[in-house]
Amino acid sequence: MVMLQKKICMLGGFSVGKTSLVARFVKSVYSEKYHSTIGVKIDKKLIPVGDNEVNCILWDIAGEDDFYTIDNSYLRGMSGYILVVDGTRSNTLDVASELNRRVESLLGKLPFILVINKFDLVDEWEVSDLHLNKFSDCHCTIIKASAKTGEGVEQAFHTLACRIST
Amino acid sequence: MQSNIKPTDVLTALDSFIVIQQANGSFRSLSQIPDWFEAFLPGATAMQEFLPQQALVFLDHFIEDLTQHFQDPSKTIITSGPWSEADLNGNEHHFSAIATRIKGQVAVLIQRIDKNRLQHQAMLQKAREYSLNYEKLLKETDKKEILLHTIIHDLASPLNAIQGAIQLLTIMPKEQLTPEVQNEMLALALSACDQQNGMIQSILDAFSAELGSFDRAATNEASAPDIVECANHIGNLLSLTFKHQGVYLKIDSQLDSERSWKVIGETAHLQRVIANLLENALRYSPANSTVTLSMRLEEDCIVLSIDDQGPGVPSTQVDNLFQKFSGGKTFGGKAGLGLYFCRITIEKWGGTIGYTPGHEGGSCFWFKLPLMTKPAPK
Repeated sequence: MVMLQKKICMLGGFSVGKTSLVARFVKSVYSEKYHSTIGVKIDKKLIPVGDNEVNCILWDIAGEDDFYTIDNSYLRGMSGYILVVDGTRSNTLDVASELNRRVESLLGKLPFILVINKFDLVDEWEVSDLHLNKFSDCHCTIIKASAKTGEGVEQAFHTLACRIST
Repeated sequence: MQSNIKPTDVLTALDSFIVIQQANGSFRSLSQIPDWFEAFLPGATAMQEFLPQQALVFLDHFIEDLTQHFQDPSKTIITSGPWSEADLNGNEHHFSAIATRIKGQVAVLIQRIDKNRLQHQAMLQKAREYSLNYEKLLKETDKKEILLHTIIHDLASPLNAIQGAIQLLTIMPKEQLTPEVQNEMLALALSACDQQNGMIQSILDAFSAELGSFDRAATNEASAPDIVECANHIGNLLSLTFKHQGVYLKIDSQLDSERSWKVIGETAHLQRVIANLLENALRYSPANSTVTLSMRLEEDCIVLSIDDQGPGVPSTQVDNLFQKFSGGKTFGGKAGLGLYFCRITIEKWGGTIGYTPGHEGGSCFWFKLPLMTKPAPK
C-alpha cells in the first residue's frame, strides 16, 4: 500500500458551509450554528483510493468577502480544491467563479470539485442547472451536497482524492 | 531595582515561544517550550533541535514562505496570519507566527491566540451576520413586492368582470335586455364577486396561519370535525358556483354513512381546505366536465381526494405546488396562497397533502388526516 500526502483547499464565499463540509467529512458532525473561520483551519483525513491511501491535508480557508481577502500564499502546494457554493445564495456562485479564475491564473488548471451545498434546503435554492453552465468549460465535477444530512459529502472528497492521486 | 524576570518568563506568560533556525534547517528553542506545544509535539521539551513543522502542518508552509521572503535582503519581518490546527487528542488550538532575521539567522515567534482570535471572530461574525440578514431582507422585500403586485392584479380581474357586466346592463338597448340576458350578467357579476371573496379569504387564511392563530386542533372527539359532514357542507355551498360554470360536482364517499368520521383538526379550517381544493379544481375544469370529491379509509386515516378533468399540472410545476406564492409564477397570476394554506394547515394537524396526475389526464389533489379514534376492527 502506498501512502500519498496531498493538500486540498476549501474555497468559496463566506457562510457557504466549507467548515461544515469538512466537519461532516472528518468528524461526521454538523452544527447549525455559524462560526466564521479566521485565517485557515487545517484538518487531516486518510482517504482510501484503490489499493492506496491518500493522506489529505484539508486547508479550510476563510471565506472571502468585503472584510477578508484570501492570502494567495495559502494556495501554494495544493493538489486540488473544493469550490463551495451555497445553493440558496446565487451570489456565492459568482464568488466561486472569481476564486476559480484566480486559482487558475496563479497555479494553472488543477483538479477541483464544485460543491453546491445546502441540498437539504433545495426548495429555497436560487442556483439552477442553468447557472452552473458557466462551469461547463472547466471539466470539473459538480456535486450537490448537504453538510447537514451528509448527502454528497463523502462523494465530493473521494472524487477529488481519486483525481489528485492519479 | 534589579528584576529577576527573564525574557523567557515573559514569553511563557504570553503563551509564546521562540525558535531559531539552524544551519541544517532544523530549529532550536530559545525559550521554554510551553505545555500546549508539548501536546502537539510530544518530547519537544527534551529535544535540543526539532522541526516544528512536524507538529504543526501550517508551519511547514510558513517556513517556505519566510525562506522566499528573506531572499530579499530589505525584508526583515513576515507574519503568518491566524491558523487553527488540532492536537493529537483532536482538540483545536489557534495560532499565529511572526518571523524575523537577526544577524543572518531566522527566528520565529509562535503564539497561541485564543483570546485575540475570539475577539476577531466575534467582530467578523457580526459583520457577516449583518451582511446575511441584509441579503435575506432584500429577498423578502422582492418577494413581498411581487406578491403585492400579484394580489392587486388578481383582485382587479374580477372587478373588471363586475364592471363589464354592469356596463353591459347600462348600455344595452332595452329590446335586447331580456330577463335571460339580465340574469346572465348578474350571474357573471356574482361569480366574479365570489372569486374575489375567495381570493381575499385565501390571503387572510395564509396570514392567519403564519401568525399561528389556529394552532388549535380538537383534542376530544366531541369538538373534532366530521370530515364527511364538512365535505357535504362545502359541496352544497359550492354547488351553485359549479353549476354556473357548467361543471358537475360529484361527492363519492366510500365511508359508512351510519357512523361519524371525526378527524384531527378544526371544523372551520377543514372546510376552508376542502373549499380551496374544490375551487382550485373548478378553476381549471372545462365546461361539461366533472369534479369528483371522494373519501376513503386508509388504516387510521381518512384520505379525501379531489379529481378534475382539466389540463393537469405541468410536471415542471409539481414540485413547488404547495409552496408559498407558487401560483404567482405558474397559474395565471394567482397569488399562490391557497395550496400553501392547505399544506400548512393539514401538516399542523399531523396530516399529509399531495398531488398526483389523474389516470386519464386532469389532476388529483388529496390530503390525509388521522382519525380521532381508531376504527373498530371488522
